[in-house]
Amino acid sequence: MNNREVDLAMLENLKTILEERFNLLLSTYISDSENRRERLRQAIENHDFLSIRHEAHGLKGSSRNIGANNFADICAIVEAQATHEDDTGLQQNFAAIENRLAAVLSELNQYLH
Amino acid sequence: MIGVERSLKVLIAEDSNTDRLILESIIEKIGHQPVAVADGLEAVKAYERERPDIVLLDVLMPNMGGMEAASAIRQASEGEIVPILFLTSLTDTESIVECLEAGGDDFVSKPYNATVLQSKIRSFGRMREMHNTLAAQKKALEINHKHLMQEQTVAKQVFDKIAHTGCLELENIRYHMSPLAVFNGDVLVAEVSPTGSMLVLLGDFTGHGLPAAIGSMPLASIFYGMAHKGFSISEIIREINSRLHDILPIGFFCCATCIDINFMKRRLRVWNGGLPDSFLYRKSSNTNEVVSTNNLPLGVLSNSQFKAETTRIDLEIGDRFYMYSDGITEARNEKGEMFGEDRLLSVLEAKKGRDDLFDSIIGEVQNHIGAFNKEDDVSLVEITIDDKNVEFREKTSQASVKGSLVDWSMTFDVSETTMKGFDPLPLLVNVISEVPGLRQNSTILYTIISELYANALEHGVLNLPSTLKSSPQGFAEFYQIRREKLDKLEKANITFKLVHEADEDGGLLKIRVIDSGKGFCLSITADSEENGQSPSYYGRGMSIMNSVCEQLVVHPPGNDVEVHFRWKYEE
Repeated sequence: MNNREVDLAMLENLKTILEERFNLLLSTYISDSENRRERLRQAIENHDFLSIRHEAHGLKGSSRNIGANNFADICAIVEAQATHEDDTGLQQNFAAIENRLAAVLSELNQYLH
Repeated sequence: MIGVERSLKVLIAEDSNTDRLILESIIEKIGHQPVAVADGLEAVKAYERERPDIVLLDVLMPNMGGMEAASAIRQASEGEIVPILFLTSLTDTESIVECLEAGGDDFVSKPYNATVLQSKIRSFGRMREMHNTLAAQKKALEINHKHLMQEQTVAKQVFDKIAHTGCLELENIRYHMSPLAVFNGDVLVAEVSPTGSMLVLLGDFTGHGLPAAIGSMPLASIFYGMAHKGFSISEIIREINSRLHDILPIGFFCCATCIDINFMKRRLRVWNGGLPDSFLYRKSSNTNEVVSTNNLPLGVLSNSQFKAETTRIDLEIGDRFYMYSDGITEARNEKGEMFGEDRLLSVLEAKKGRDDLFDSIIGEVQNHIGAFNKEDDVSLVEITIDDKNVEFREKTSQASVKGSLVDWSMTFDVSETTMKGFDPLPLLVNVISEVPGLRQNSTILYTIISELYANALEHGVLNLPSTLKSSPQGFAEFYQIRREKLDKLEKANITFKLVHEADEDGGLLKIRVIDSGKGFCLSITADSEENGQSPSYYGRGMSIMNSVCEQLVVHPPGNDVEVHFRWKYEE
């Protein structure tokens, strides 16, 4: 499937590196990204650009590491916006983050089983 | 897959649990030991606790960011090299530059790649190892250098005790030497001799440092030891040459200019081996004369080949003598250009006979060197011929005459047990050599004494006929009988009586050898030889002595021979 959210080759590679800790990695990513998503929502409500930047940066980095590249790209856009304190379409972008993350997590959940 | 490479301790500071877990796993997988923390503050603490080989820092972290942590870690590293790699995304070009400027050595971008991480860790691990090796070597070198300097200081103190300033404080001597000249191999010693002469030796040993310095010790101690006793400059340099020839390895020697100035007689004796020509300023004609003598440096030749003859030059009041080492002509500026003889000659000409010539030479050389070379290898000596303090110098010298053998006598008995197994001659020649003026004649004196002793032993005590020695077979027989008779010898005695009297020009040594044999004739003197009264005596091969001794007397009944040997000071 070409329109998958997560790069399968990347995941396979991580599996060989992490071995028995691979499931721990996935569950860590899932809970961390859900936590970050909530903190990001809060920060956007508060117009707290510093926190927006941090959370978007964190989400971007770990998502690249597990191969969720499309999602990471959206996070990068939000991070850049926050760096320049630009809130044009920030709400829409956050909505995109929520949707894409849901898709990523759903794929990963499948992978877990 | 790390092959033979050492496993390194890698500190990871990353606030994202996911990323940290991945990094930890990669580091472990490639054979290193991860130490993982979640923020900058913990990273600094972990650094101090674990002293990792390499540090990986995320930039954005709670509590303390990566850049701040990097500089804290650099401070805590106490000069040790710690490679710091920032964890970042390739897209943030600006922050990468910022990271590197903040003291990062490199960066690792997300997503993390095991191969990239492995090669970066390997190369920074090697870099750190090389740095540490270099730092350890540098430290060892610094310690060595410090030791060396301490040793040089101690050696210098010892040297200064041996080569004290002598008479260098006299007001007609000016000299310039580097404070650590001895380690450049330069040495300057000067003393007023009991004969009233001022003796000065400027030497330049081959090489630098300890090998150059070590030869200065015997040189100075021989110089002062002999100068005090009144030995001439020739005798002193002959002795120094002999000692240096014995102790210095091949290729090591001492170029030197040695002078003896007698202010009363107004004459200079000079010997130069290998140093640049000296200069003598003549006041009467207002000209500079080149004083050149060509000998090999001290320590090159064995004493049998060594030439210690000096050149004699008459002096006048107001003349000035200059001697220097090649440190002056070979002083280089920053372009590597030498000061050279031409520059020296032009200063000598321009400031001819002036009081400021000495300072001008030193000044010009130092200007030439500039700030480029801090090593001062310049040695220069100026001696002014004046009539001040001549008496003082003479008086100083008279006082130390007591330090050497002047008027003395000695009786030395050799009994049959000694005759059988011991050669008393070196001992006697040693004693005689303590007399200044006699040392240079020690070869002749040895011949005289050995001839007298041989006669006393062979013809006097053992009563061997000298006629035996006229044929080769007779020689063999002679020594056969000599051995047998010596073995059986009982109750025999040979007495040496040495009397030395000093006079103004030198001294007279009387040597008398008496044996316990029965003698061979009535009183004969050397003078009576013309009358043909001493054929049997001359058969005993003593004609050599007659040519070198002032007087030769055989006291009756012929077992008692006396010779007189007269010596004179060098003019």
